[in-house]
Amino acid sequence: MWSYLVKRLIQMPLVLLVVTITIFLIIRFTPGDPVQIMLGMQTSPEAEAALRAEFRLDQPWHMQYLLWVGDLLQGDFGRSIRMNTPVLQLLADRLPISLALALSAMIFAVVVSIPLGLIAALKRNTWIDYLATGYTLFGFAVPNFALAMILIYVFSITLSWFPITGIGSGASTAPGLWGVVQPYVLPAVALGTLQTAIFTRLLRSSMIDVLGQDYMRTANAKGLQPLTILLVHALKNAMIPFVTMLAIQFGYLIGIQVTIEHIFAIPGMGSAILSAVVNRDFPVIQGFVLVIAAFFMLANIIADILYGIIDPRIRY
Amino acid sequence: MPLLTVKNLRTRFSTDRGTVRAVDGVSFELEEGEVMGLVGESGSGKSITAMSIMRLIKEPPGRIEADEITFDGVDLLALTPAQLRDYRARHISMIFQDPMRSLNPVLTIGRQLMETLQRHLRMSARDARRRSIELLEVVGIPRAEKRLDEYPHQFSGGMRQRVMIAIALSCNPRLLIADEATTALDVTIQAQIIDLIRRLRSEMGTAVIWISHDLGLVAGLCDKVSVMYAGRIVESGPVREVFYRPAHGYTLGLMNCTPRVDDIGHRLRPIEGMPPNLAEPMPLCPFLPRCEMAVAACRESKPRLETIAEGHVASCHANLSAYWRKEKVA
Repeated sequence: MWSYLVKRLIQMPLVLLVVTITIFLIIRFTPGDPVQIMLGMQTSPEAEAALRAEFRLDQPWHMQYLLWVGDLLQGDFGRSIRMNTPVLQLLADRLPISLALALSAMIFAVVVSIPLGLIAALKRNTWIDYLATGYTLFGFAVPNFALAMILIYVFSITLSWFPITGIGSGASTAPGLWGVVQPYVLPAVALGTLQTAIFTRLLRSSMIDVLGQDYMRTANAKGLQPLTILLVHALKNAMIPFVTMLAIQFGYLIGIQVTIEHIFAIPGMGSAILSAVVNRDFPVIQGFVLVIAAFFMLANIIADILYGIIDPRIRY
Repeated sequence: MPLLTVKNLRTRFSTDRGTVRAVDGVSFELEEGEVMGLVGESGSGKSITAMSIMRLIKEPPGRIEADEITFDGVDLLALTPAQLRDYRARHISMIFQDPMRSLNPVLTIGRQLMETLQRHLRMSARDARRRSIELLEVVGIPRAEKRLDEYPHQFSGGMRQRVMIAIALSCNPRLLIADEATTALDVTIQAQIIDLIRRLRSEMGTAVIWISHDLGLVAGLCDKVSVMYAGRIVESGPVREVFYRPAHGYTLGLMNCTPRVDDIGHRLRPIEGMPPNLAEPMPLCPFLPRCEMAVAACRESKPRLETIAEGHVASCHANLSAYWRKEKVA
């Protein structure tokens, strides 16, 4: 276990190195010049040259890459061309918000999908199962931005139950803990609905598989109580693929918040990347994508560890 | 009074291709401490018979009917699901065919043993653990205390079957149903398991229904045997009676395809053809299309169970006495 973990953690910087090369090349070889966008067409060549020199954009691209990686190794993510603030400062502001949003979407997905998946598997091929399947189809099909619009219209504008914005603004619309949680509800539902569908389908199919196993017949032949059979004998087995998917999807959720953050005006990583791409703010794009990639990899390592913990047959 | 009485058990399954009569009118009695063999090909209804007694068949698609299933004076058919759960493993235990897949892979052996004790005998965790160690020792698992905390995948097939037996015996049941319990095991392990079953039967007086397609094993272990074909018992009686003086074409056919170690060069004679489709009605003997002993009467009427000798019944029109052993049946 530990040696496996160490091996995975050693691999991580190597993969991240490949990630840096990929991000760097994609950004540099797509059209768009940050200096031009920032200063506009009507500018003096001197000002332009000064800006280029400041952000080392006058160097050949391979030198730019090496200098960037060299800085990274010293913990320096560079500065935003557009805002002139350190990228690390931006990350410190925005990463917690993105993590909180991903976590709330995840909680929503788990709370919905475990009962739904269980009931669908137990009531297989009945109207309850078909209803659950209908819900998951909806979850797979509806784009999260469209769902976000509907949620805002119904729950914010019509019913006034939830605020439209408010995450990261410091202002809360309700007292106490609810004031902290409330603004997250609609974005979490909009962001996590796809995951509820993924998890429900996964749990339903793994549960159906488990229910047909010989050891379930043994559990019945022992005369155990139905709830014990379901929760201990069946669910523990069915959770193995579920938990793995959970960790992977969490890593994924951090990277796909762009549209949701835009709609709900959330100052997270997604909206920062979006404006950085529009402005060709190279250091910001590079730094943020690198961090998202690192989180994705961490989530995968955690998935593997969890896999080993719940399934005693897995030994690393 | 017999320990178990089964009268006219009928188990059916609704499928897309009609109703399959998996068990069609099975009756037998089992005395306290008696060992009964249930033999027949795959699909003859042996396992379904066993699972019907414990009502482990999923209903629907299955449907269990019987004139009577009485265990120790209690009508099992009248029990509610909750009452039935109190009987399972407590009074009637079952061992299944595939030990590799009959234990839960994510729970420790100890947990799987202890939960039965805690459920039925209301033991504390500590008592259940102590008893579990004893049970593992009884079934011959060395270093029982340590192995209790291991998972099924750390056990070999034979060891897992021992664990299954330990679980099945944990509450001292009065009836043990073993469904092909040794089929998946090496012969040496098989012999040890048989020995274990024999010992338990003599020490605890447990009655056993031993389901197998291994006639040799049944001959060595059981007091009496029932031969099943197409969902019915076609012949039954004391082991020596049935195997020395078989009275049904199918029993004889089965014996002819059983190899004997001391008969080198002897050609086995397979039973040609396939078992019948159980979804179709059978107005004649279901074995007729495959029977080498068939006589004219077989094409006219369905034979009924008739008494051949004391306790020995068979449903066959043909006279097979030419194939009987000459020695006196003890």
